[in-house]
Amino acid sequence: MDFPKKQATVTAEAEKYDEKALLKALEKAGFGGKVVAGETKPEKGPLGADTRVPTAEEAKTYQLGKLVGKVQGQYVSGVDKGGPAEKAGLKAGDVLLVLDANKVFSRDDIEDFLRVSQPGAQVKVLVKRAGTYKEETVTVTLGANKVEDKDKHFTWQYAGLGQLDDALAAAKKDGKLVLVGLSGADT
Amino acid sequence: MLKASEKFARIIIRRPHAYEFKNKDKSVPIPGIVFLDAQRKVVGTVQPESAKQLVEKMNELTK
Repeated sequence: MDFPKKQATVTAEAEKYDEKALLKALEKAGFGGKVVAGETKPEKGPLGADTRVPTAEEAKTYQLGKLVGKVQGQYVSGVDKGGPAEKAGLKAGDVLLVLDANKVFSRDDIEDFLRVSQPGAQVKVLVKRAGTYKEETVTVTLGANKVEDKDKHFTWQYAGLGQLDDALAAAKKDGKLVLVGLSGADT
Repeated sequence: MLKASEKFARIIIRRPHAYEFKNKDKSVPIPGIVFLDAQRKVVGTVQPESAKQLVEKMNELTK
């Protein structure tokens, strides 16, 4: 079999692999192998942006809303060069407020949203712009990488009320009830 | 897209989003399990003691 000559990244837990043997096997298979302990993260996520919680000063400057004490929005600390966010015109200093109909209060909200989104999907992102602090809607075409599900127990956990419409549509189609869990746990 | 049992489509809405839901339907408990029909009408509620119990109960209901 003709394997492509390229770098391969193999994920393994440090105590469970023999690095030399693995590298040898990779070399034999035609890969220039590189072994990384622990989980790897995709270089470019489906959104292609790094985000964090806005500081108190940023929340004030951007006039970000709150819900039960949680500030709405995720501050974009950087975008991947050539990634989906950059292509859509998002840049560092923007604040993501809503993905489709889902308000964003944490990075978990973004990850939950991306987990149930399809690669290549077009997502309307409501954003407050760096500098002008004005709201704008941009469309981001998601990349191919899926967010890894960190907790299998929550594969059906969703970012917010926007996904409820999907649940209702599915229920209507199949003649089912929708079971909604309202969790008091923080994000 | 949705994980669904034979009887239910299911979804968990966490804090703070859960409070948006409660703003529209004041009678629902948090933590709480709410049964909606396809028209979004609340047809029943269950109030577990904790978020952990909520997940366990939902798992039971959708087995």
